[in-house]
Amino acid sequence: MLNIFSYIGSLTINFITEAGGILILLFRSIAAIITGKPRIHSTFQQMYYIGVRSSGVVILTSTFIGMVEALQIYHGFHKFGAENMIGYTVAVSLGRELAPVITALMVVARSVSAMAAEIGSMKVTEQVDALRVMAVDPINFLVSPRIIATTIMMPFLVIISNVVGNIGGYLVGTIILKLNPTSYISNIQAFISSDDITYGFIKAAVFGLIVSLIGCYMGMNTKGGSRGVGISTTNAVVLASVSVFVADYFLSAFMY
Amino acid sequence: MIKIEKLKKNFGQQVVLNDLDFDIEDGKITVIIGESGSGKSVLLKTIIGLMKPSSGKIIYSGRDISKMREKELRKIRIKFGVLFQDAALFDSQNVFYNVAFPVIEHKMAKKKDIKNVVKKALNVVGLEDIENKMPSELSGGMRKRVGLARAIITNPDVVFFDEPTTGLDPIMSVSIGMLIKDMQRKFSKTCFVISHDLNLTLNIADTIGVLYKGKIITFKDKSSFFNSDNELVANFLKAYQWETNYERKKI
Repeated sequence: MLNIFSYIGSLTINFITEAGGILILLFRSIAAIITGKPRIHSTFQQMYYIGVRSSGVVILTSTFIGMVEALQIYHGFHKFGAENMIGYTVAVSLGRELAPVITALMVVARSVSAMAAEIGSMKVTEQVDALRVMAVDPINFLVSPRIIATTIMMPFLVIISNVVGNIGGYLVGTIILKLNPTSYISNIQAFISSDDITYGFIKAAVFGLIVSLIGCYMGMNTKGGSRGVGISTTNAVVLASVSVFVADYFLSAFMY
Repeated sequence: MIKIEKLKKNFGQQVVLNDLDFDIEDGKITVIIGESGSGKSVLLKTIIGLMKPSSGKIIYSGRDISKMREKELRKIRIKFGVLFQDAALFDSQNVFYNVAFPVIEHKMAKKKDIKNVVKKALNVVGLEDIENKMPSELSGGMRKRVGLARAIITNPDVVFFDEPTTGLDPIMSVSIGMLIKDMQRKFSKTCFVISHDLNLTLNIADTIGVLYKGKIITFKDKSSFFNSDNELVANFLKAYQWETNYERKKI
């Protein structure tokens, strides 16, 4: 019995420690952005790496998500003769929910893991210490550009995800399910509101901030050689993915 | 001069540095030797501010740098150069960028002059035409030299060396030792070296300290070091003589 309490206790302490560490990193990053040297070049580099280089995988996954959604919704809506609303339903679920979540997960898989691994290996090979002794703030040099880049690029990736997801849904709806192309689009235009899209963008930016912070935090706290880098990378991916879902619930509850 | 006063560093219950008192004199090479796990790296990291001491003072230019915040420390660190054990070069950047990094960061030279400044620094450490190579393409000795070029390019007052000969063959170790000595002679730099290499220590040191179980058991200039009556120092010297004789016989 005592063991269970001790286990729960250590889990709670770990959670609070990590959450506190991430929060401190957020404040230090904000301070580094405001008072530190502007890192325009490396921020653009990161925007290219996180945004442009991730667009392929986002396009691929979002297209299939749109296509699958159209198929699945059809089976339900067909029973009530509401097939015409498939386009709108695909668009709204993508806009509010699926596009930001799927995009965030793709960015976690592709870029956050890389952030944790890259910064982590710099930490264990004393490159981060080298930055400090050369009077360079590692938060300003390594963390801030990644956080800014991810937070900016996530909404752009969500735009792409929305566009290709809807195209996927449209193609399945009109070619395979034989829905009327005009009513498919006109129903989207008639019912969708700007909130359905902007909520998705807000979510995307918040997800971008959270996942990049977690990736950088795990990297900066790497200990113990290449094994440590592996552990940090795994922890970053798991924690960032879970955080996306948790943050998604709270953001949805807050914005509806 | 850097003055270390009653320096203590604990990790929980474990005392790693215990009441250290010594001075790093200007323009001289001070070497701290000790076996693995004696606290040498912790000492170096504490002096350069990568670790905070549990108590004690590190006085540089009349100011206690151990109590300084990171932002304040950065102004001091510009006057320091550090050669890390594995050189700590940025893997994703070529030699040129690695060496130029502190100059670019602190805008210490005009853009058009950076190329020359880097070339000069590389020449000091005996390297040329390797600016475009990546660190992964360099040997251990070359990496150390590039690391040293980066450490001295800002013309620091004090250069710190963390185990400069670790992982190098004997010839390269001697050459790194000569480089440190040359650099100190030519530019009158204050050098602080931590090492377990007695050969290197006896070749380059002006002052030698022995760190044993977190305590400095002797801290003397080189000539007095040889006459030390401390048992541990005597053992060190015996081991050195044995090693030298063994090497001679082998040859």
